[in-house]
Amino acid sequence: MKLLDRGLTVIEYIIGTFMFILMIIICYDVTARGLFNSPTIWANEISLYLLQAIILLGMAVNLRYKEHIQVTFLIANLKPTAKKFLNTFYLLVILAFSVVVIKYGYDYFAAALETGRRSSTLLEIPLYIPYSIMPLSGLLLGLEAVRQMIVLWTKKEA
Amino acid sequence: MTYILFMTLALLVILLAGTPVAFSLGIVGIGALVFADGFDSLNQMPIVIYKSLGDFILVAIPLFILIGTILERGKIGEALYNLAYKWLSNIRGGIAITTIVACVFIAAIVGASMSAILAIGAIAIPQMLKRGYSKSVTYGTVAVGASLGILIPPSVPMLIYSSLTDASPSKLFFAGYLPGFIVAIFLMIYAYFRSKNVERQPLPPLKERLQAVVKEIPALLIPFLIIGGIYSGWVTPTEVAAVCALYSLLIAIYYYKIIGWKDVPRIFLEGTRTSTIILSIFAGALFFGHALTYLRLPQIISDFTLSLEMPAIMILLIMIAIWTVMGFFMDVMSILLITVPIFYPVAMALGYDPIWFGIVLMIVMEMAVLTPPVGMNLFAIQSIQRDEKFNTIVVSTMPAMMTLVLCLILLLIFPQIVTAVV
Repeated sequence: MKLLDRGLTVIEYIIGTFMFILMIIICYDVTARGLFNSPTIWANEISLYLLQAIILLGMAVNLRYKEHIQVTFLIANLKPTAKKFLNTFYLLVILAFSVVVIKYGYDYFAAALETGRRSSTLLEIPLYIPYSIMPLSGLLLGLEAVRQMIVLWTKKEA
Repeated sequence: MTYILFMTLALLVILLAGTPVAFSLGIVGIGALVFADGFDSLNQMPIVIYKSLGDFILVAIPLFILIGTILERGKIGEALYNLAYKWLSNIRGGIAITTIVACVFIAAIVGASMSAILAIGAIAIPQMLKRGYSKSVTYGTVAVGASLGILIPPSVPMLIYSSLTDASPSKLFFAGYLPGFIVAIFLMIYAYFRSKNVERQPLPPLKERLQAVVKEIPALLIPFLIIGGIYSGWVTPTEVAAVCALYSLLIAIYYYKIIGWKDVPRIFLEGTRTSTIILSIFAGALFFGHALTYLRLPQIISDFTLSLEMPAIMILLIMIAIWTVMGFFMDVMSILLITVPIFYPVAMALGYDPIWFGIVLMIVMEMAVLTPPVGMNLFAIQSIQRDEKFNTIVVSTMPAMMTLVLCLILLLIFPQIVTAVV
């Protein structure tokens, strides 16, 4: 559990850094095009990979901080026991979701790895690199959901 | 039709149980696909997700949110508020009008409404209450003023709308300014007439006021950078967002000197987390949207609606009513992502203008952040005024919200407000 916590902190820093890089490379591209009339061939593609990583990995980070937007007006005034069951319910939903993401995300990743497909742009990035993000984020999401379930059922009633 | 019923019911149950919106949409989408065509139908899913997340317009969303975080940390909102105050403090309703002007400026820089309301509200609310402004003017102008972030570009909801439809983000941005100013002017008129007996402050000497303008020029430039950049057609909204993010970071560090490089990591962590909250819903909604398209539901619903042969305006009013009701309970992103894929084809089949339809939607979404029990801007005011009853906040915001209703009616009667611009 400690390991998962630490891992998610690392991920948080990584996507924060990605955000910084994203800003810089787009600015660089604008400058290169405007001042030197030589647009980069990679800025667009790389920024999209960074965005995908930020969004998909961010889902697990948000779950850790319980920052996801929920509809709470019905469950806000429930008794603790009822709340506990509903929390378990939604964590199971997240777990099911993450299993699907892992399974199909991984198949897609494995296929790209096997065939060695590259992006159809000038960069020719091996596609298994960006495609590894979906199964990875599914895994983190699932683990975090399980962790929260364990905490939910082992911690004493406050 | 059974699918529509099944999906609506399932979504409702899962959402009401408190499941985060992102995963509710995801699981219902997955469920519908499996239910219809077995597990093999999920093979397409990663392709659809990567393709939809590979839209350059989306990159603008975290960047505009980042600008908001930078402005908040760099206290640039407060600086703009103080500047407006120096010019407007002696007129009737001066502080309220100052608040609205500052909100308009900030709305023209950031993509969402929360950070603006927190920064300005925290100074304006205590000041207004102390000088005898009524609660309805105080809470109303702050809450409605801050909701302008949705309508006045750059606007994250507009970017989401544009990515779900084929409406151009630049055109949406242009179309947003005029209705945004109309709401702001209505709001000022309201504040003026409802602030009879408030304490006014004499203006500082002209020299001091001019000096204040000069001092804030770096921040005042940002909206013009955004408008000019997009209007020239030379850069995309995403590129404008990146340049403005870097620019605001640099002026916050080197010019205003409120933050230093040591604060930069925290700003980026915070900005990224705020963005991913919104973008996860987007990712979850991709599953939902994929299921809708796969099952051809938008087509079916659109055909069904047209077969009713109701007047177009009736159907539009029904859509607005549905949005309003959803606005009571849900946040803007979720409403957009659930309804736009279904409503947009219908609106297009009825012959409405895609940009105009988007602007109408934005105004209804402004009301969504102001209506209880779930209204983000009401919560924000509550977080500033902890001792105030939530009901009081709700009731006192209502009259100011009528300015939005008024603007909506104007747009329905005179679509030219939007269509003449784009």
